[in-house]
Amino acid sequence: MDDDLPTDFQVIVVGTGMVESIVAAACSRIGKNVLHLDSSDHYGGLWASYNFDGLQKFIKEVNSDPKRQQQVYNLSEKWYIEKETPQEEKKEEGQDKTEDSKAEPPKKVWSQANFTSEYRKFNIDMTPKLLFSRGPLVELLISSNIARYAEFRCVTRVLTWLNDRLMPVPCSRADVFATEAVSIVEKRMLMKMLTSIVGYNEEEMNNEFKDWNDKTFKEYLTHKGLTPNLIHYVLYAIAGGTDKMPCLEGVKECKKFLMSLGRYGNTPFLWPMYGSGELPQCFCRLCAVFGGVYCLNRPIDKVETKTVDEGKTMVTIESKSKTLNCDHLVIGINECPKELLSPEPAESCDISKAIFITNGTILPSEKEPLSLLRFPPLTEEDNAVTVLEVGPATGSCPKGLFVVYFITNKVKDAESDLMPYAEKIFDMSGGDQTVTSDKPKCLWSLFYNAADGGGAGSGAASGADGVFVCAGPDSGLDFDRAVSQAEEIFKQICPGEEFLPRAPDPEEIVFEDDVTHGPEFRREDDDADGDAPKE
Amino acid sequence: MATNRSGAAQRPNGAPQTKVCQFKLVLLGESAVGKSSLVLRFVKGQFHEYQESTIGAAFLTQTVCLDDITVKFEIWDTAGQERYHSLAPMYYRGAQAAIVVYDITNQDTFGRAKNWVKELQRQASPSIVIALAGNKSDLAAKRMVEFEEAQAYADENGLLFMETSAKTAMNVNDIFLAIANKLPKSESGGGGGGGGAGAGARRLNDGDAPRASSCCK
Amino acid sequence: MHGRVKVRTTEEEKARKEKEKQEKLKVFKHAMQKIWDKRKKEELDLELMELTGKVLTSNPDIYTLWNIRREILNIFRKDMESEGQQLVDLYDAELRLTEYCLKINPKSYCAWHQREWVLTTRSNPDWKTELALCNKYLKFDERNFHTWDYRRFVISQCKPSLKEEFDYTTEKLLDNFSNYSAWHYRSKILVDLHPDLEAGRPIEDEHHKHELKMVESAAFTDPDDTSAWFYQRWLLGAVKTTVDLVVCTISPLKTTVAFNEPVSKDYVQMTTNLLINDVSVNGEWLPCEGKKYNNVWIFKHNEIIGDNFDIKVEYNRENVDKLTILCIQKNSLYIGRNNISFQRKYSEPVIKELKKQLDSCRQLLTMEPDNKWTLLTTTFLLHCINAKHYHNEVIDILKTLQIKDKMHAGYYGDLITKWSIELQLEDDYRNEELELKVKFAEKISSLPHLHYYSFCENVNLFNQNLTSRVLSTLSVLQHCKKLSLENNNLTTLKGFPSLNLEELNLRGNKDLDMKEVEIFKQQNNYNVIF
Repeated sequence: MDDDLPTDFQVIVVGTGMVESIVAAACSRIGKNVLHLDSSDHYGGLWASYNFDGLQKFIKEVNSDPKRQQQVYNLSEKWYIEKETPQEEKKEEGQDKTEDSKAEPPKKVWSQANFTSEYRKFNIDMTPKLLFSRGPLVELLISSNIARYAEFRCVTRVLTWLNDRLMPVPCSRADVFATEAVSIVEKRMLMKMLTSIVGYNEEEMNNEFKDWNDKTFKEYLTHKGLTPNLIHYVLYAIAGGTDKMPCLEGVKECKKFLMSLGRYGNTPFLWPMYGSGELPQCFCRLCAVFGGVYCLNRPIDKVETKTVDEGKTMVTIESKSKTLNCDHLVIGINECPKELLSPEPAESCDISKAIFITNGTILPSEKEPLSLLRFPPLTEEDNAVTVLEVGPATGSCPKGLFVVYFITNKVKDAESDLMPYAEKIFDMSGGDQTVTSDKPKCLWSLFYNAADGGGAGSGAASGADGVFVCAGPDSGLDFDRAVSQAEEIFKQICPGEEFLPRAPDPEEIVFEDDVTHGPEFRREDDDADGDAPKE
Repeated sequence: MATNRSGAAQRPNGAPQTKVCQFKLVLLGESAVGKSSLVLRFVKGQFHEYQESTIGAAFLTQTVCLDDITVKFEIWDTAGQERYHSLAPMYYRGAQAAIVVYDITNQDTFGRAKNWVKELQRQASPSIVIALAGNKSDLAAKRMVEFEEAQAYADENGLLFMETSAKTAMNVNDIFLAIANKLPKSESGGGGGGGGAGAGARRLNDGDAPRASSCCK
Repeated sequence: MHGRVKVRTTEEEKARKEKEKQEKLKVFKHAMQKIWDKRKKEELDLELMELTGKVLTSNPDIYTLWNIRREILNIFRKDMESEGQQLVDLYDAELRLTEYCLKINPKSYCAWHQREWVLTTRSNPDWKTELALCNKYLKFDERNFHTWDYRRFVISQCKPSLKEEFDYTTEKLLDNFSNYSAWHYRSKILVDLHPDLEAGRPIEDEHHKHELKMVESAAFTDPDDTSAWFYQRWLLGAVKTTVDLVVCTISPLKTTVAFNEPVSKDYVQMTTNLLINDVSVNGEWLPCEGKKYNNVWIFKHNEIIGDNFDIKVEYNRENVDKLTILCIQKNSLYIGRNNISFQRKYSEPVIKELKKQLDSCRQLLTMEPDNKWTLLTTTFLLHCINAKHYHNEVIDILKTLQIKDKMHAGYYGDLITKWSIELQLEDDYRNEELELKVKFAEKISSLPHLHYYSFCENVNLFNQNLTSRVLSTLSVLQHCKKLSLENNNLTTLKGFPSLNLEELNLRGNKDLDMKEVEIFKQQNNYNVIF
């Protein structure tokens, strides 16, 4: 049924991950003829979001296909709730009713069957990421006018784990003013530190920190007289670092954080509605709007490159017994035949991830929160853990639930790396969901490891001419690496062309022959007629 | 119906109509049933027999004046992604209205339209207003889908229904007006963003100048 | 290639915009012409409403057009017996128009004013909705004082609870505390919402403390933000203050009474009673400074004052026991002094809070010894906690500030003068000092509290930094015979009050004009040394 698919393109993109989609959009935008394929039936590849059913399918597929485990492995799914909701739930005591009308409605008791029946209300990210309000992706979305395809929510708070409990991090001027967690003198110190960091330009920064090259950020903060509390906030929560973080890197991370404050919300971060998996789709839509052809469910079997006359390379792809030709092939690492990958993958650090579905937020607040929690390492060997908690308002899950993502650099395996952190903030024991406790109950969890495919494609290198391999997701908080890699690939395919110039607004589009106005449009009021139009 | 091409809608005595609700409306349906033609007829008053796909138009906008408020439609076309059944779900995210289009001369397209309706009912916001448009009513001679059949289906599923012709303009403005009338116009429902994600969700734009006061300076 | 879209180039876009602009201008001129024509012909009708409305939507600040609209609305109002639906619609439309205009220019005086007019003219105005509108505008720009102003007017009409309003200011300040309007409004509500009626203090202890903490937090977060400072000063000044009689002086020629604050004639008449040999004296009160409220009042009576009289002044303050002050004879004067104190009197909990804040400041100063803002706060806290005890430290810091912050050296100098004089005054009163002489090393630049010295026959302001701007304040020296302004910085004698002096010393004022002094000498019959 796809057989009317044209066969000759300037650019073929295989895989609809973030990097691939940005490249596809950029090529199409400047007039390249683009075909965009994906072997699966959905968008996003390794960057996809799934509903609960799709996620089950995904887990099953990966677990049964060793080839796919090159990218994602160690998947371990667990339920902490009953299969079915017990029937004796309804209590028929008159006394109960009167009490209920006053007290809060009883907590819903979730069963696995509820998840299955409400599966469409879930949008669970395999690669959850936040956007810095002034990060490269936000700037790209705005400058290219792709931002209009997506909606975002502001992260409402930044939390950290301090003195064995969750603490909100004062990060903006208003936060510092309002917080009671730090003393008045600390407020001054913190503001002074933050203000000075924001104030440095590149040159001043290098100057100020020239003697700190071989020292850590923590040493710097200590030197500046910050109290342990403040060092914790600045180092772990604002810079997102560890004790080992080099000084200059810490300063730069802080500055990035601070520069993104005040643009959209109270924190520097944005979360895409319905999950990060929406973002590749936005770029795909732009590609399609400028003529890109889309075909999902189209695995490729073979890739060959040959030199045609004038030394030009031509890439041919076999797909469903059809041959597709192009000048440039852009291919996601998960779609890429082995022989096209660089023989020895560069050293890279894999990622440990976990997803939890819980029956409440980790720290109650007046309005539904959207939180970034930065966990400092609990032990010497550990890495810092990034936690994102999203609720129903983000379109991630049904009412009453929260989806919580954990990300860290792998040490052992996802479960051993992350379980100790999860136990700090969740009740992992299962059991009665109606019991109120200080921690939300974990209802379901999934641990997995992901390869950091950065090594394969950081230079967009591949074994063959005309073929560009796109890296998979990295462990960074934002999409910085994906954006810069996509731009690099684009510049190699289309040297000298502008990367995603602004797409026109509807008002700027003119149609040829655009002379007649639509019928029945009200005429412009002329002076002779001052009456109000009737109707 | 009065649609107004430009400027703030005016009320008697020079007072402007301040309440403007913006809605995202998506078009769905098989390739070549006339989705883009319907939009072009509505927005530009044009029709072309051999309509090229609308390259570069992310969406078009058109304003409809009702008695007490102004409805601004942000109309999204599929950009050809439906062709190989590859429409991205983000397309109908946050849509408050949809027009599912079929071609009255092609029974298959009516079947596909029903699938789209199902998909919307499952996937889109529960309050979405769906209209079914049997397009190409000017080709009644080649009719393969009976009006009554489609009407019965629409009634069953609570859809607005009209047979339209982008070519003759029959019912084109009417179907958009019918949708405008049916949309809930609460303050939050048709907010500025055009999205349906509810209060708090936002589009990003350049105009979001930083408030000097709220950052650490 | 029908229907294929293309995008306008920037050139085309520019040309299109220019054309649009020209067209708009043409339409505007045309409309304005038509408006004047109709106005001349007195066609004050709906058409004129529509015309003015259209122009205003793009130019909300043409106030004449708003005037025309009010004229028309007034005519409709008179024509219609009762407020019918049509008039209601017109009022609603007017509100919509102003709302629209304020979206374009939120600082349009005339649009805000038009709203006020509509709402106060129509019956059944909806103040609740109006308040919501104000809050909406303040969400866009929380510092727009036009909105705050108008909001206060709306509040005066719909009268929400003080608590709600107080919480509203909290909310706004948490968003952004650089907001004069919000702090100011907060101070106004605070004294109504949480007065300490029992102790007669303006603010209840707990709330006073809370506010001090809040403003301290703002000041430590961003010391460069001055709005918090104003509120802090206000809070520090929010102590129990009562009018008090300071000193009365009776000489054969003149009787004067000085108060700590300016008071009115009615007040003096009601409260103050002169008794000579236990007989109440009748007379007339005359203002010394020639204002409605005066620090010093002159009592004109016909009694002849001799030696060894028994002279008393009775002072009847509201709600306070009658105070009788004995006037003791010194030379030719009878002087009755009250007890005075400049120490601000806070409650114990507030003092505790101030001490805590002082500790924070001191801690900060060990880290940033040169921070001028912390230094100044420290002086204020020290002064408020115990002015006498900390006097030397306060003066030292202020002198440091004069060097570090040259721009505000004058301000610091005035503080030094004021606080030093206050300290000296307490001593002088205790020691029943008879003349004024500056007893501290710092030169004074102004003459604060001079009325406290209204009894002095000898005023020696030798070798200070006084300029001619202080001359008018000398009017309170009603009993002065010998006044020395030697070695100051006087430049003119303009404003010198008429006083019954015997000797005035003007020597050493280099910039004083010889001729002017000569004329001055001729006009006054006392000895002028120059």
